[in-house]
Amino acid sequence: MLNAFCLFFFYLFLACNSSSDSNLSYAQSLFEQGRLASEQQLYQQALKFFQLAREKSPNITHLTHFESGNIYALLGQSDLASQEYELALTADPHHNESRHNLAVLRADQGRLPEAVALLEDMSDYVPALTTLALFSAKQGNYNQAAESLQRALKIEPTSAELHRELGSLYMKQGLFENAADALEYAWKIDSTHAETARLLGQLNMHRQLPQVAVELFHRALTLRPTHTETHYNLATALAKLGRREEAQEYMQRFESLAEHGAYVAQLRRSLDEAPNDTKLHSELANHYLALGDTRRARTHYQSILLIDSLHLETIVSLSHLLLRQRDLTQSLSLCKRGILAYPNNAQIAQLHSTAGYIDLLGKKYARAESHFIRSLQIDSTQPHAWNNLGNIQQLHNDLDAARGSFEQSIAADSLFVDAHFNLAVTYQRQKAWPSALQSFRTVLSIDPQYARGYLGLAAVYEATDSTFLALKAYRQFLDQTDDNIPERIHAKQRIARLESTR
Amino acid sequence: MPTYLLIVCYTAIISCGSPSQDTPELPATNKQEKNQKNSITFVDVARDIGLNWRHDNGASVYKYFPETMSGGGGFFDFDNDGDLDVYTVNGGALDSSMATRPPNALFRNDRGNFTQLKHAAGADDRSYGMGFAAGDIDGDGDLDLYLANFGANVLFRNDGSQFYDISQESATNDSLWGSSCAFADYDRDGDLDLYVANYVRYSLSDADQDNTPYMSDLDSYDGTIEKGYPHPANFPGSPDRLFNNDGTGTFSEVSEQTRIYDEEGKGLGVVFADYDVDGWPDVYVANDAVRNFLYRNAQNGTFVEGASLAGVAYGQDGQMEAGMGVDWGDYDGDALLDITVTNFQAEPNSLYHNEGNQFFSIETFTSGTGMITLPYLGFGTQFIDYDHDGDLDLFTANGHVLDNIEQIDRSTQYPQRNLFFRNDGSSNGPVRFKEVGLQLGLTSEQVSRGTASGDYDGDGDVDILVFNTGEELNLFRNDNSEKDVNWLWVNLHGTKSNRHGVGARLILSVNGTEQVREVRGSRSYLSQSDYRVHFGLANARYAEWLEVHWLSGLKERYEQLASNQFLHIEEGSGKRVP
Repeated sequence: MLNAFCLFFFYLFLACNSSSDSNLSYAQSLFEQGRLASEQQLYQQALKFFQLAREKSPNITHLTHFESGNIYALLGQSDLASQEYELALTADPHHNESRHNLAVLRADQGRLPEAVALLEDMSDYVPALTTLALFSAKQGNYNQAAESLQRALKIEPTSAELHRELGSLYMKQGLFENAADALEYAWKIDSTHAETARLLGQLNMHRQLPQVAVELFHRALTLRPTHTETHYNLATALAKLGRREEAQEYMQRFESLAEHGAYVAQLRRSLDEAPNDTKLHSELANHYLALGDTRRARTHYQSILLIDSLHLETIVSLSHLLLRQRDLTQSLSLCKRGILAYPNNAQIAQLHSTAGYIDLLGKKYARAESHFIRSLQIDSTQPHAWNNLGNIQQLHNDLDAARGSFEQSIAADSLFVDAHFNLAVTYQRQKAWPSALQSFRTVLSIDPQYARGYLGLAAVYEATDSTFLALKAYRQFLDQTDDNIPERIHAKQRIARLESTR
Repeated sequence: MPTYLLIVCYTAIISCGSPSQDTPELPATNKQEKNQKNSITFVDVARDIGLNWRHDNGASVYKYFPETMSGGGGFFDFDNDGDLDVYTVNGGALDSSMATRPPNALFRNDRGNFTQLKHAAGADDRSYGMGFAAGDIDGDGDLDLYLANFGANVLFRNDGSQFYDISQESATNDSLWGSSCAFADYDRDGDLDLYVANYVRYSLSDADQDNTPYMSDLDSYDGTIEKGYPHPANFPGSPDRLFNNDGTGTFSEVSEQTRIYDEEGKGLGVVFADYDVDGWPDVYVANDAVRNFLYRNAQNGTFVEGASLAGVAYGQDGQMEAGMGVDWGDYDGDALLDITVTNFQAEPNSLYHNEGNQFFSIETFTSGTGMITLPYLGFGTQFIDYDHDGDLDLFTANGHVLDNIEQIDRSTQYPQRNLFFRNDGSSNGPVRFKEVGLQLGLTSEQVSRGTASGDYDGDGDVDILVFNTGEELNLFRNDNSEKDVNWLWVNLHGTKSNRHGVGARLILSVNGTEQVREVRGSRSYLSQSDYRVHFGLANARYAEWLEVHWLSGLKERYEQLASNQFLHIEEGSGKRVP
C-alpha cells in the first residue's frame, strides 16, 4: 500500500502531466491527498499537497489555505496559521470556517475584541455562535452568551452540545430550573458526554442531593477518566457526605490534573513566543499525556519531529504513544528511524523493545526476538523486554529459557503482574504445580482483579485434585469477568464437569 | 445630615438579669421593603470633614507591580478618646529614595472632623506601604500599629499619644512583599499575635523582564498598547508569616512551626474567625491566582490547612481564582460564619456558605452576588449591617488592576463603581442579595482597594472608608433617615483575654432571633476596621440578651439591653454561662 509520502510523488508526477482542462480535478485530488496526509499527521506532506493543489487551480485556494492554517494551528504555529486563514479569507471572504478559526486564534492570542468582531459577522453559522457564546461567558457577559446559544439553537434545535452549553451557562447564573431543562435534554440526546454528566451532578448538589451527584460524577469519570473539574466536584460531593478519605483521594487527583492544566496554559503562552522550541513542545506533550489528551500530545511530538526529524527523545516517546494507540506502522517506522540514526545510543533500547513488541503482534517472531535480545543487550533492566522475550521463548516451547526471562523481568520489576502470570503459566506447562500455585497466588496478591489469575489457579487446583478450591477459583474468575470474555465458556464447562464428578 | 452624637458611648448600661422595663416590641422583620424612599444614602464627606488625602501609588511607565495593588489604611482609636481616627498608608515612586517618598498619615477625629497630625504622631513611615493593622500588642490599652510594606514591614508602639518604631526589637520587620495583615490571639494566651499575608517574590528589576501582563499579550497588539501591569503567574509565591507575641510586644516568627508556611501562597487578604465554633481562631487567606488557604486551628499551637476539602480553595468548578479581599460573616443567621472573597474581572466574587461539618457550599450565584460582580474587579469587601435590620449586607470596593484596560477590553474600565448588596433574607430557600449601590448613592467610579468600616460620627450606623490607589480616599457617611430602626454597638474590654477582645464571639438575641458576630479589626483588603461590634436591632428597642464568649474561655451573659447605645463590656462583669 502506498503511504502518503509515495502518493505525494505519484500525484506530483500526475500533476506535471495533466492537461489544463483537468487541472481542477487534479487539484481536488491533491487536496484530498493533503487531507489524508493531514489526518495521518504527515503534516509536511500535507502542506506540500495543499500548495500543489493551489498552484493547479485557484478555485480551491481558500480551502487549501484553510487546511494549511489548521495544520499550523495544530502545530502551535499561531502566526503562520493566522496568515493562512487570512489568505483563505482573501480568496473567499465568506469562508466561515476560516473566519471562525481565525477568531479562535485571535482569542488565544489575547485579542478577544478582534475575535468577537470576526464572529459577530456570522450570525447564522452555529460554530461561530457557539464560540461567541464561549467568549462572552469568558468575559462575564452571560446574557450575550445565552443569546448566542439561543440563536444557534434556532438553527440546530436538537444539538446536544448547544443544550449542554446553555445548561452550563444557566448553572453559572444560578438558574437551576432552566439548567435542568437544558441539561436533561442534552443527556437524553447524548448520554455519553462526560461534561453533561458532570453538570447534572452539580445540579443535584444544588438540589441538596449529594448522593445522586456522586453517582453522576462517577459516571462522568467513567466517560472521561481524566476530566479535571469532575474530580473536584466529586471530591467536594464526597466531602459533603462526610466521606473524607475518598474525597481527599479525588481532591489530590484533581490538584495533580489541575497542575498539569496550569502548565499547559503557561507553556502554550510560551510557545506562542517561540513556536520552534522543541523543549516546550516536549513538555506540553508530557502534560497533555498526563491529562489523557493523547491527540494533542501526539501533535506536539509531531511538531518536534518537523523541526528536528531525528529528535531521539521524541522518537522514543512518540513511538511508544503510537504503539498505545495501535498505530503500529507509524510506530515501527519511527523505531527504525531512531535505531538507524543512533545505533550506539542507550535510548534505542526502548525502540528495540517497542519494535520487537510490534513484530511480536505481527507474528514475526524471529525479528521480534532479535529486537528484544538487542534491546536487553543495551539495557538489561527492562521488564517488558524480558517478558516479551519470554513469551517468544514460550511460543518456541523453550520453557526453561522462558522461565529465566520471566524471572529476569520480575527481578527488574517485582510488581510486574504480567511477568508473574507468564511465569506461572510456564510452571503450569512444566507441571511444576507448587511453583505454579505460588506464582498464581502472587499474581492475585498484586492485583486481586487479575481475572486470568483465577483461571490459572483453578486449572492448577484441578490438576492437583483440589476440586473444591478449583470450583471456587473458576467461580471467582466468572465473578471478575464480563459476559463477552470467551474463557467464560471454558470456565463454565469446567465447573459443570467438576460438579458432575463430585 | 447626620446628627452627630457626642460619644454617649460606653455608657455601660449592663443590666444582668434585670427585667425589661418596656413591653417587648413587635418582631423585627428582615423582609420589610427597605430603602424604598432612599431613606439611606452614603455620602462621601471625606473632604468636608478634613480627610483631604490622596494616595500616591507612584504610577510609572515601568509598571512596577506594587503600584497597582496598593491602597490601604483604616479606622482605629489611636488616642483612646472613644472615636475613630484614620490612618492612611502611602506609596510614592518606587525607584526613589525613601526620604523623598510621601509619608503615611494619621488623622485625629475631633467630633466628626479630622485633623492631620504632624508626622502622624511618629507613625509617618515612608516605606512603600500596603496593609495596615492595629492591635494592642503590649496590653497597655492603646492600639499599636503594624504596616505591611513592599520592603521591610514596620511596627509602631503607641504610648498613648506618640508612636515609636519598634520593628527591629520586636523582630517583625520582615522584608517579603507584605499585603494584608491581621492581629489575633491564635494560641489564646491573652496577647495578640500577628499574621502577615505575603504576595509574590518580586523586585523592581523584574519590571525589565518581558512579563505576561494581567490581560492580553503585548506582542499581539503590535506594540500599540503600552506595557501593562504583570500577571502574578510571572512570579513565584511568597510564604505568609505568623509572629507569636511573647506577651511584651516582642515576637517570634513561627510560620513553619505552626504550619502556615507555604511557598506557593500569593496572599492578598487574611481574616481570622472561629468558623468551626470550637473556640479557637482559624484563618482564611485569599490568594491571587492560586488556591486559597483555610487554616484550621488544631488547638495545639499549629494549624491544619484544609481549604480544598472544605470547598473554599477554588471557584465552583475547581478553577483557581484571583482572590483579593476577604471577610467572614454569618449572612444567613445560622450561627456559622460564611466567607466572601473578591476576585478578578469575569470571575464572580465568591460566597462560601458554611454548612457546619467542615464543609462550605458555594452560594455565589444562588445568593445573587455572582452575576453582577462579573464585570468588576473586586478588592476590599466587608459584611456590614448598613440598615440595622439585623442581617449582614455586603459591600465590595472595585477597580481594575490595569490602567489601560479600556484599550484591551472595552467591556470594563480602570475606575469602577463600588457595589452594595442588600441582604433580602430568604423565603424558603437560600438568602438572596440585591445590589443597591446606586440607590444608596455609591455612584462614583474610582480605582478602589482597601475598605474599612466603623461608626466615625457616633450616630450608630456603619460608615465606610474606601482607599483608592493613586486617588483621594472616600469616607462614605451612612445617612439613615429611617424611623424606628435601632442599633447596638458593643465595645469589649478584655482583662484575661486580649485587651480589645479580638476573637471574642458575640451572640445577641433580638425578638428571639440570634445574631452572631466576632470582634475582628483586620478584614477586607489591606485595611483595619472598627473593633467595636455593631448589631442592627430593626424596630426592637431591647435585645433580650447578649452572650460574650471570650477567648479566655469565659462565657458571660448580659440581659435586657437597651437599643441605641454604645455598650462597654469588661470581661468578667456578666453572668457566667456554661
